[in-house]
Amino acid sequence: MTTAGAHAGRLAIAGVSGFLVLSLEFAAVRLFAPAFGQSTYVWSTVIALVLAALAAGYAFGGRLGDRATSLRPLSLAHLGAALWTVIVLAGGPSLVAALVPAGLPEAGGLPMAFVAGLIATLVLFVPPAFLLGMTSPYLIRFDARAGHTGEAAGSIYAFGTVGSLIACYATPIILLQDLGTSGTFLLCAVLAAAMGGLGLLLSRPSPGGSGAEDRALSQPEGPVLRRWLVVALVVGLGVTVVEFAAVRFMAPWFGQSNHVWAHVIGVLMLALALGSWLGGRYADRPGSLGALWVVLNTSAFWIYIAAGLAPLLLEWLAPTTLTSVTVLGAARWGSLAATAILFGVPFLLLGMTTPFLVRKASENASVGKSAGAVLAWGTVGGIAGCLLTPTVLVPALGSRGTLLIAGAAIVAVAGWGIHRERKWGFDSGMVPAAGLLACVFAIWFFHGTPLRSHEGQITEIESRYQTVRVVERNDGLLLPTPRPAWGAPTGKIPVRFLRHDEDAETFQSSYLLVPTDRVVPTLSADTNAFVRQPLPAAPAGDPLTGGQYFEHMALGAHYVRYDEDKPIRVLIIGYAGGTVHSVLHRTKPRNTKLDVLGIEIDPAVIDVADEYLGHKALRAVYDDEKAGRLRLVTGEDARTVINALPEDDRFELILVDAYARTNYIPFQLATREFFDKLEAHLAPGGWIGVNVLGDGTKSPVAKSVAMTMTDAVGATYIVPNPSYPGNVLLWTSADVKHAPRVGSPGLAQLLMRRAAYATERVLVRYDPKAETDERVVVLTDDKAPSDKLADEELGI
Amino acid sequence: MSRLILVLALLCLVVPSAHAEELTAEQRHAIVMAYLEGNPTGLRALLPSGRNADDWFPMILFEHWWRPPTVAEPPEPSTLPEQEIWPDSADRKASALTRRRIDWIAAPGPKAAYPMPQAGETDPWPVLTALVQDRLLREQGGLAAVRAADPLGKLAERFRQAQAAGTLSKHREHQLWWIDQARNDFSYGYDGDPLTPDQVASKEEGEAIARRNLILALISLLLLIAVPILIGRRAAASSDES
Repeated sequence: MTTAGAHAGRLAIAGVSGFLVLSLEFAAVRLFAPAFGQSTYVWSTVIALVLAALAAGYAFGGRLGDRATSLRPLSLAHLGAALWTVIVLAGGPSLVAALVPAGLPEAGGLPMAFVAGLIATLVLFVPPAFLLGMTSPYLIRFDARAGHTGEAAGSIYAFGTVGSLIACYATPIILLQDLGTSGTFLLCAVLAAAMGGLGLLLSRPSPGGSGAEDRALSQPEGPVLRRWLVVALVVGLGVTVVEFAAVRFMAPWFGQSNHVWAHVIGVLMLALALGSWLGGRYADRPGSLGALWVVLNTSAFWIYIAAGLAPLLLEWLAPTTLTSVTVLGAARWGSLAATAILFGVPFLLLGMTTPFLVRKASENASVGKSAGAVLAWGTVGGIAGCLLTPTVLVPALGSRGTLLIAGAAIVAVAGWGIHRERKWGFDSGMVPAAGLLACVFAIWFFHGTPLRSHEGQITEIESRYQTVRVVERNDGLLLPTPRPAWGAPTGKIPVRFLRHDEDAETFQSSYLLVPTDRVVPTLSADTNAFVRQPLPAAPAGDPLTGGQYFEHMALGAHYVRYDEDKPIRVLIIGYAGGTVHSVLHRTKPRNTKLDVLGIEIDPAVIDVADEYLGHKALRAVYDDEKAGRLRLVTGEDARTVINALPEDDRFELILVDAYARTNYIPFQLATREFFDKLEAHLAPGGWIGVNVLGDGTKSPVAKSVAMTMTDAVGATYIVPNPSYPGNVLLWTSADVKHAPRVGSPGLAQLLMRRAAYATERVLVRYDPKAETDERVVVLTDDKAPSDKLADEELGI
Repeated sequence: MSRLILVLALLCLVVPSAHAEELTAEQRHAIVMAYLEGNPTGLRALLPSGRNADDWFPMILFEHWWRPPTVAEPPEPSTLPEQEIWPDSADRKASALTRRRIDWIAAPGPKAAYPMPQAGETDPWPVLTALVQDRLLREQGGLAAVRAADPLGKLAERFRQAQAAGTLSKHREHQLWWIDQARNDFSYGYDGDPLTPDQVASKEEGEAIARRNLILALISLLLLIAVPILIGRRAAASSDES
């Protein structure tokens, strides 16, 4: 094989390796989700351990490369990774199933799936990550020629990053959706084996060549200087922190759809890859060190500018005049443009540092060792960034504060480097001090300033998962619908909403602000005409929402078979601010009590609702907490909690209202296995209701969930919401042999009539045999293309 | 359920006691409208005492099939809603059709076809009959079955023919509106209300902004890729020269 061919082969191996690492990471989370959920703890555990394994692989691979004379050892490592991936494919689900945590979490204890996720990642994904991590430094050593170490590092690192870039688009959006989890693992195994085969091919001596080009590179034998490792650490930290914070920073405008995440990560990786390549071109020049410090300072300066001025650009790209649906198209491309403009340049500059550092480190130590150490320390910084950013930095400082802190860290390390150079003719010790001072000033200046303001916005917080805004509108809710039975008069009721990320009109929780003039049009029995009369007295605001889906879900309490002597047991998956719970209290059958288990992954939502929507006061009025009839499990994925429920914990009513990243049903809460588990916790005569917001009865997501419920539990009924187009509720029961029927007692509320109308007049049984849409499938833990279907439905 | 059967059977076996006054067209219309609106309070208020079982049938249908009690254990006999359903003063005479329908309501298990008038019989509540048939088809057969049989559509067609002939009463016109609404509500291929001008404007604005953002994204990416490549190539060239 020619030298150029061998070089191209090595670049291909670097690219495939980068692809595999990220693909395995995505597939790992997918494999774990049905057992451990998808909380930040699970994601952080997987990412941190995989990165740690990569760091160890980098260090080991570099040293191995220094001693090796061919690619054969690396090829064997790749074949080992392929074999291990096959083992994951065959035994992974069993191991994960065996590790499912039992019992509900205790207050103050470790997150439920933390230890299980740790063990599963260690056993299943640390070995292949370690083996794949060896690739880059090993190849850098093989590609390096005398005086061109930086160039080799830049090229190899760039191709590895391009592989990761492809994986960040292809794996979540295509592979996991179309091939499923096991199919993705199989593809990874095949690619790893092919990579190993290519390496073995490149190891064969070519006619007229030794097969080990440029082996005569003279290498120093000293240690890697610590200063370069510190810089690598800070740059790795900065890259990861900015990456996570950038998505959250732009979320109030663009949301967190799969495409937004892919665009942000994709652009950042593209910029890193280009930066690596460009850095490689400069790193081997004499006097490049000064350029390195300029590069770092410039990137930090750009991050500062982005953190301060970005809202102007973001508001222009996704103005508040757009609705929750029409904003999605603007967000898809807006996120791409914004990431390129705001963060492309700093990432390009940060990407340049790796070849600089490898080049500098190799002046004192061998190339492989230097490359391995620099990559490993950079990865350690990445681990710190991925652990700290979503769990500590963003909730504590907000995403803007987090960006500023990342910029300050980079300025500090750059200033330290300039100070050490002592050749620029000024007191360079002032540079880091000035940078840090600027950071402190900026954090003080922006403290308490929301990222985005909507009309009537009261507050905004950034939680571990999302941005939550409390918005108050005088025309927040129209009562009632413009239909003759309920609608001749139209009243505008002031309402407080909880809105999330890019939400412009939809909401998760609401609270009617009608303390004194609580009047709505009511049908007069005498005249058969509408009159305005007071609503029955309600405590501290009325939880009814005027025919939105909350009433439709709460109507389930009138479907179930209940005993007047016992409370109706209700499981609410996706408790949010507790609106469904409050509406249930207001509308439940007469002479009944409720016993509620609520599960909410984001504790901040409940805190905000308690403070601003008065839900805590409502709950206190209803006396649930005092009577011990409300159990709230927060901070945990609902699937993990359901897995851990005691077998005898049964519910008459199970309501699933869980959404992630605004528009997606978490796949692990919509599969056949999930509904099997729910059925096991359904009391006789009980019903399961699932809220789906999409394209109404035509929605392939809704129909796929309906088909899955039919497959797992039994006959499933679709209840469209005539006053909230696009929204449907799906109902199924294990032992009730007829459609849901509204019981008579206690359904006096006018506003509930609309929900009853939907059940009695527009409900249809879902018939899987009559399904003509080929996209509609039974969702399983292994293959659930619900995200893809949602994207198609939303037109993004 | 067995107690319900007993109660309903008793209702049917009672000997007629007195001649009942006929319901007026106004009253019948109000009863149908209350049923269409899902308003049991209004329905009960509209049913005066002293009527026969045929007149009380909407209430019986509503409370025992349309919205049956869901309490697991039925209340004690003394608290049964017998008196509410069947006041002492009521004429308990029921036509054969109404009796068959009460039997149908009381029958346990999956429902057979709803009893229809036989030769010589007249359906006193044709709108309610269409509603029941429509609901049965929705619940048992699904959307395809509803579309194929379309009992509400057939009723609406009859009303329309009468309307064209100028014989449709004002009451029936109101009922026709309701029937059309129910048929429109998503299940007969209805895609929801047409977009309002504001919604159309918002949609167009969103599309225009998306196009603009796409162009900006492409330009940004082009610059992000091209500038480093140009700089890198220049660096390589100057390096070769030196």
